[in-house]
Parts: sequence; structure tokens; C-alpha cells
Amino acid sequence: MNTGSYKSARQEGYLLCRHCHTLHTLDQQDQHCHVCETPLHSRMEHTLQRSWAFLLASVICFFPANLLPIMTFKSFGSGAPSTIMGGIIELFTGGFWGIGLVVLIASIIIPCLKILGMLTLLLSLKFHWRTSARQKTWLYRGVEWVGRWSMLDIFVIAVLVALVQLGSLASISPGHGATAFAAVVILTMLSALNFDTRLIWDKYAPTDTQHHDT
Amino acid sequence: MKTPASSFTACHDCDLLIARTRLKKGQSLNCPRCHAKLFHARLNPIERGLALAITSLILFLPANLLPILSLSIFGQQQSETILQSVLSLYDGGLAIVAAVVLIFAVLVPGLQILLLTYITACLQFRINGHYLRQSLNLYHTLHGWGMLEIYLIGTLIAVIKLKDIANLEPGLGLYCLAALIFTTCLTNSLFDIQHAWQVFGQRRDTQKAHL
Ligand SMILES: [Zn+2]
Ligand SMILES: [Zn+2]
Repeated sequence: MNTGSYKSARQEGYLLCRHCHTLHTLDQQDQHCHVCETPLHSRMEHTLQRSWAFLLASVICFFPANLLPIMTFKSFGSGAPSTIMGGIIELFTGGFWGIGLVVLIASIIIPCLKILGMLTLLLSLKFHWRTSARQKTWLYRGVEWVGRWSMLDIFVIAVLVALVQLGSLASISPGHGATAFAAVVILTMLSALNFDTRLIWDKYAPTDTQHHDT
Repeated sequence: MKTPASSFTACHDCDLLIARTRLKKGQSLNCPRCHAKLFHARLNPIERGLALAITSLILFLPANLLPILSLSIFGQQQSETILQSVLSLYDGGLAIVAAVVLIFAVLVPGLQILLLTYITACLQFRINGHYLRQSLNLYHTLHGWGMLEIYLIGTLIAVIKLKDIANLEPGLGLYCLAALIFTTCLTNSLFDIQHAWQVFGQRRDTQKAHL
């Protein structure tokens, strides 16, 4: 694939407003877009630092999210707190394979893949790994698209807690693992949001390609 | 002399500079390098956006106020609305999670519908909305943070978890919520914020020319 024939807007002296998609000239950097009045940046400012910061924060929250109980089910005064994994195992042992799989994917696999995906993107830019820019873009799009769906377990807890409030008969109360889990989801979404995908393609600029060839 | 910026556009995902071409209605333009969707010339996006916004507006209140599910066990009954689930989380001591559910399942979707109504009404009827620019900016920022469809799937999972120990009845709110999610999906595929920005920019330019 000859990536050398492609020219980026920045190389040609242009700058795209990412809010309203108006094209400006590069000398308008740091000024305000005349259509939407947001600040113009050829590349998002401090994008990698911000993306790293949110990602590391989400990794830290990942442990309490999985270790602390997310809810406690009590029936006739007895019951034990359960974690995310505990709830999934309960679904599997109860024979609800399909739904157990959905919760497993949304609550454990997607957050892990999101964190690993962002980590791969950030590390590959940091150490200039020579991997395909197109693959990295698709990886980013996957992370971005799938990100919101891990909020699923939070909404399941919200519905259960509201429905099962029958005093001593049966009640479900939420646990602090849910707070940490919500934090993981939001922080990974923010990490992806602050990542400027245009950086993936910047090293494929023609000048760079020539440089590598010689 | 450099070619004016208006004859080009750039890909928002990879910054590839692309010559602007006129698209026929229904056609779309993808980035040749990273395949991001750049433009989609939709049919009457403003008019359709307005119709969908009003429909969503009508559905929003019942979806939030009517019970989504009701549960009966040992003769006792309990029903649930989105707002009640927020309150229960708050009572359970999880103020942050309650805020998260309130923001993503109630406030953001509600705000998106209000903004869309305002934006499309202003553009359709050529009203000079004082907050049109701010509304467009906010609508753009909120994209992807409304999570009604995830709430609905969450409700379904809760039903499956509880169906062995209790009797569950779907409420009217559930149907309104499902209809609201349907109109939201339609809005995402029929309305186009980029087109709204273009119309807004053109109107702004002609207004400046008249001054
Ligand atoms: Zn702009
Ligand atoms: Zn592109």
C-alpha cells in the first residue's frame, strides 16, 4: 500500500475544526473557529498525556470494581454480598448460559479489552511500533463503539435495587464495587475520547516514509 | 496564492486532505485512507430531525414517569421507574452511581431531545436562535453519552435474574422506553449534525454579508 501519496491537511497548511468540520488554514491554530467558536487545534492538546492519565486511573479502579461487592441480596434476613464475577457464576450455575455470557462480556471482557486496546494504542505511539495504521484505527473504533456497553451492569443493579425492596421478605442493596465499576467505564470512555486518532497517521506522512526508505 | 480552504475538506479521523465534491441526495463520502464516514447527504435531515425530536419529546415523559416493571412476590407489589432506580441507589448509599444513572439515562437523553428540537426548529423555520451555536456545540459533545438502550437491556437482564423468584409484569413505561429508543436510533441515522452546522454557517455568512 503506497501511503506516500496521501497528504494530511496539516502538511498542506490546513486545519480541520473537529466540532463543526470547517476547514481553516493552519495559521489559525489556537484561534477560535468562526463558525462554532471553539478553539482550533491541528491536533488535540496534550492528547497522549490525558489519554494515559484516564487509562491509568481506570486500571486502578478496575481492582476495587472486581473485588468489592456490587450488591447484597437478602431474603428473610439472610444473604451474602456478591461481586461481579460472583453474579456471573450464579447465572451460569443457575443454567442461564446466554444471559451469563452477555453479562460476562459486558462486565469483564469488554472493560479488559478496552483497557488493553487503549494500552496497545498508547504504547505503539510511544515506542513507534511499526504496525498498520489502519488496524490501529479500527482498534480505536472498536474501543470507542463498545465502551458504553459496559455500563450494562450498573443499570442491572439500578433496576434490581429499585424492584426488590420488600422489607424483610427480600431486598437488594447496592455495594461500593458498583461505584468503582462505574468509574472504570467512564474513565476508559474519557481515555478514548481524549485520544486523537490523527496521531496514528502522522508518522505515515510522505517525508517520514522517504526517511524510513533511505 | 493558496487554494481556498472551502474547496477542500479533511478527514476528522486521519487528517487526510480531500477535495470537496458535491454529493447527490443519499450518497455518502468515506475517507479513502481510513474509511471514516465523512459526509452523508441525507434526505431532508432537518425536517425529519424535527419530526423525530417532537416524537421523542412526547415519549420522554411517560418513559420516565410510568412504571417500567412491576414485581409481585408473596402478595406484595413493587414497581419501578427510571427515577425510582436512581432514588433507590441514592438511598442505598451510592450517591455517585445514582448520579451516573441519572445523568446517562435521564439528563443526557432528555437534554439531547430538547437540543435537537431547538436546533431543528430554528433551522427549519429560519428563526434566529440566540443559543443555536451553543446548542449545536453541546449536542455534538453529548453524542454517545445517552445510554437509554443500555438501560433497556439492563432491565431485560434484571427480569431474567428475577423471573424464578417473583412474578414480573412489564409496565407502560417499558413500551414508551422501547419506542423512545427506536426514535433515538432513527434520529442517529436520519439527522446529521454536520449538515446542521453547514446550514448554520451559511446563514451566518449571509447575515454578515448583509451588515
Ligand atoms: Zn468549528
Ligand atoms: Zn481518514
